[in-house]
Amino acid sequence: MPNKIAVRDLAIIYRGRHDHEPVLACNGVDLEVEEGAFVSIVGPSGCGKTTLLYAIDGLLPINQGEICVNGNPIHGPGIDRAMVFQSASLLPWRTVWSNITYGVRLHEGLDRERVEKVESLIDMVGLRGFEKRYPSELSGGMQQRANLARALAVDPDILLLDEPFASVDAQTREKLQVELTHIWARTRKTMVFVTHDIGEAVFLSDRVVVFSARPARVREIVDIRVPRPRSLETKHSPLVQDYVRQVWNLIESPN
Amino acid sequence: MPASSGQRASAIESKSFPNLPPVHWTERYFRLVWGAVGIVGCLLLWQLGSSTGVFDPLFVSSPLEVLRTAVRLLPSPEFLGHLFITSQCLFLGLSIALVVGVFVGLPIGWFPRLNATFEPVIAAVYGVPYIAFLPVIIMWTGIGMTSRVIIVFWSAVFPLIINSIQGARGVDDNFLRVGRSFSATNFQMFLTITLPSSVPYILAGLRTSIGRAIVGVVVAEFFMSSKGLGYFINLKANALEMAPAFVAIVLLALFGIALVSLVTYIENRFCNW
Repeated sequence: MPNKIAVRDLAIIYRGRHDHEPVLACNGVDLEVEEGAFVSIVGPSGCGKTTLLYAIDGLLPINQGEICVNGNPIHGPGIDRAMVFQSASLLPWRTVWSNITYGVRLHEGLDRERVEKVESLIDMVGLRGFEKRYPSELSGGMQQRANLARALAVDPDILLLDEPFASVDAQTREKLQVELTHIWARTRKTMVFVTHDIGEAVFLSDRVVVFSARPARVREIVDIRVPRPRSLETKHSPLVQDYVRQVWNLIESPN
Repeated sequence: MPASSGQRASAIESKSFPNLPPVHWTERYFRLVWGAVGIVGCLLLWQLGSSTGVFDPLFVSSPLEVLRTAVRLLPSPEFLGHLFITSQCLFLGLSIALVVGVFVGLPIGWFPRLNATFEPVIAAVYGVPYIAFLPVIIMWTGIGMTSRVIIVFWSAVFPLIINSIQGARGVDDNFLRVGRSFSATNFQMFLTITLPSSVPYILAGLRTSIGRAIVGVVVAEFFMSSKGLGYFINLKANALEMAPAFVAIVLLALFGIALVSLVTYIENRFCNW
């Protein structure tokens, strides 16, 4: 499989709003993601996982190295990549339908064909009947379904997910994780998933990338050899638990 | 209750609870009821004071007298003319202030350089009582409809500018990232993120502006008009005809209430997020 994403010797100096102290968030990150793979990134909190994801989306300037998508260096956001943000990123003044079609309307506009695609997406993420609601009227889980659909609606090659289930209750989270594996299997998108939930990372992924503390570097890459399709039983199986322990030890052990 | 559930039927089965006493209307319309009690109470005291001679009816009239005068005045073409002139001036001035306020304020809030440049100027001008500019505006534009509209505009525009600035500065970073992630152009960012996210701020500004605009139009009419409610109040009060003056004052109050209610309606209807 060819590499979909190639990150080479990447350094990102992250500067918050106004004149905050600049922070070296990533330094010397090398990472390759094959087409159609599901890769998770875990690491100590505040280590720069999200920064790397934003950089791949093109939201941050690159201070050193490069990020290639399909072999070409990126110079900003593009609709070949779409981001599923953490909670509270749906536009509160738009209905669910209007939120999901946001990206589409910015570019191609909504023709009959696109409307049909979005309709089937709404079925896929389980939001049928909620199209006219506002985000504030939805539960956290429903909001993240809409968030996922909004990213899928522009039909990107790559889906970048930034702790999408972090603020969802535990039961809903497990359900969403299983559904995400189905969606991944159906759409064959390349997925990069940032999380601090190691169980989630192992359960979802082909490979789990373990980051060091800040500035983030790739510390170890763990191949998850667990057969698919995976179900909730898989998640609690000894095999998966062994991987979880292995990744946990990697994060906790000193460099 | 399906027999297969194997559980005892709960005593409360449906969403309606027929055994609960209905909520008393004084409970349901609590604020409305007591608000009405307050207003009616004040009017009664006023009437009582006038009837018993505690207040001199020559100077303060009485609610009943005001009501009688209103019934007489409201249909008269002359009075309607005053009303029309005032509302025309108010609506023109406020509309221009709304458009200008938003289109000046949002860019100043959006671009840090414009913000740094203009915020001190705006703060300085905002600090001056806007009525103080009245003689200056008269010198510039003379007396007439145009200059009264300018005064209403001037009275109303600053809260709108300042709130639009706040609105554009306060756009949530998360929403900005969403727009940029979907490769929105700058113009699309403005239209789909900055503008809608600022609407609650703009409406809050409009609320303040309405009050200031009404003050502006009345003061302008005191000094530089031969028509309008402000002129009418001035004229009647000087002639010690208090009842007609109070009719116009009550009308101005209703004006303000109506306009602010309209803004509240828009807020509830379109900004309930």
